[in-house]
Amino acid sequence: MWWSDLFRNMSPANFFNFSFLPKYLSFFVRGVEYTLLLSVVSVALAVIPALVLALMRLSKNRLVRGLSGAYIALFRSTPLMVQLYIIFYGLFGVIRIPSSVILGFIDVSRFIPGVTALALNSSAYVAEIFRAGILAVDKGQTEAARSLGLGGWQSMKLVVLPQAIKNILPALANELVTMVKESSICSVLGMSELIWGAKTVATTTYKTLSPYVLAALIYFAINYPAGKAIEAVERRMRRGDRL
Amino acid sequence: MKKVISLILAALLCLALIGCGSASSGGEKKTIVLGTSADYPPFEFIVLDDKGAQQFVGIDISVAQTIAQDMGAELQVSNMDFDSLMAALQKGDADIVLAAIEVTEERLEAADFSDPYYTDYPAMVLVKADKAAEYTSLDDFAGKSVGAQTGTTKADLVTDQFTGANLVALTSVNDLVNQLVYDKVDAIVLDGAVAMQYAQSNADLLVADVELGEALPYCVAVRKGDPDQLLTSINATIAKLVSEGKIDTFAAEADAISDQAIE
Repeated sequence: MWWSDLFRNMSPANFFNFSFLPKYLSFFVRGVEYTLLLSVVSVALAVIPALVLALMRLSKNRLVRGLSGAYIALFRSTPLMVQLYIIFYGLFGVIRIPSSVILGFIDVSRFIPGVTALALNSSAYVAEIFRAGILAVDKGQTEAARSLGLGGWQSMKLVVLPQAIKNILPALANELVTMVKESSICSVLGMSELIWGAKTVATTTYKTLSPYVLAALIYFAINYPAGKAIEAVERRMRRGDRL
Repeated sequence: MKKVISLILAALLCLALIGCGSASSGGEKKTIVLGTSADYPPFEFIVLDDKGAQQFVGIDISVAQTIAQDMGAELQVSNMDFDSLMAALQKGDADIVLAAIEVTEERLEAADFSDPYYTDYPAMVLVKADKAAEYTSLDDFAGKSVGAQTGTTKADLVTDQFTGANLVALTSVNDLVNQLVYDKVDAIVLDGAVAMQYAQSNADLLVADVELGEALPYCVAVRKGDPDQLLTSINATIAKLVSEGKIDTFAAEADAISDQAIE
């Protein structure tokens, strides 16, 4: 290829020695697919437990509040990498998942533990997002709903939560953007996401840095537009606030 | 009412946590799982085959394939970091481990080993080409930073033989090479064949003229106590491969594939 001459005189350890590209592009394509699947599924799975955790956190029962608080504290105060190890070797050492490949490149015996760890971790953060979103709804809304004869759960479901969603959605989307980057930790356990692809190309081709630079460019190309889109949606949702 | 709801929610959360994965594997065992760290050409690495599919190749992979064949089993490769291999073996995620592993006392506590199947060049010291002249004996590394892979015999070597040197232990060889190229360490210690490949592919790097003693042979690791009775079959396969000179053929093949992968 004509442009591979550009790299002829570059050191294999050069940041921009992309001579591996035509041949090894597929590692990065697969990597992006794996990363996106990993992060989207994780955050999606985290939503329901997170809502439960947030409601428990707001409960008047001390035991229920404490349970949820302990879960959130545990997952937010320890490194994700250690959580991943414990879940992969501990939890999924007891629950054995037979190795089988779906969609041609996803080994479920690694993907499921990875998704579980990320989802459990994410649910702690998303729970705090939900809690903040619910608390941001004016107390008067609940009071008005209750005085109209709605029960506690009904006023939460019909009045508070619909308004809280406006606060929650952008933060939830940001959590997804964070997860796209955070999921790179799964490469240490051989889940073939983007950083794993970069690492593999780096070791096979002896181009020791440039595959990581390419991976960073790809992460940026995904996350920057996503962040901008979230901002736009946020602006659009704020329009009704000016009173 | 609220309490009831809260309790139900709490119970749901517990169920969600427990229910995260309930599929469990069956008993049949016709596959043999190889644990390896495929970031180590020419011993184990990943290339693309003609159809563009990812494929594990290398000396250790070829040996493992023969071992599985002789057992009448299918080989399945489980790829992970080198320092996770022994844990995977103990946990049962891998039945055998081939990853250019030398037998040490510490490793014997965690696993059982087969007869040796391959002896590499002795470990070598890789340095920057323009500073290679400075290093003629191990004493020249006093006060310098010397890198080696975490949990390998090379890391022990630095501690034991490089008097006064400061060990920098990292997980991947790739990172070690970067540290050397960008002057974060002064030298790195690698398996001979690996050091030579990097010196060959990068003009900035050179194998230092320093002797590091005998090469240790590589062996296949199995679970401690060999509960699956794999060692007899493995040793028979190794004996056959060694006497037929097959391992040198595997090595030549792996070198050719590696050269092709670099272009």
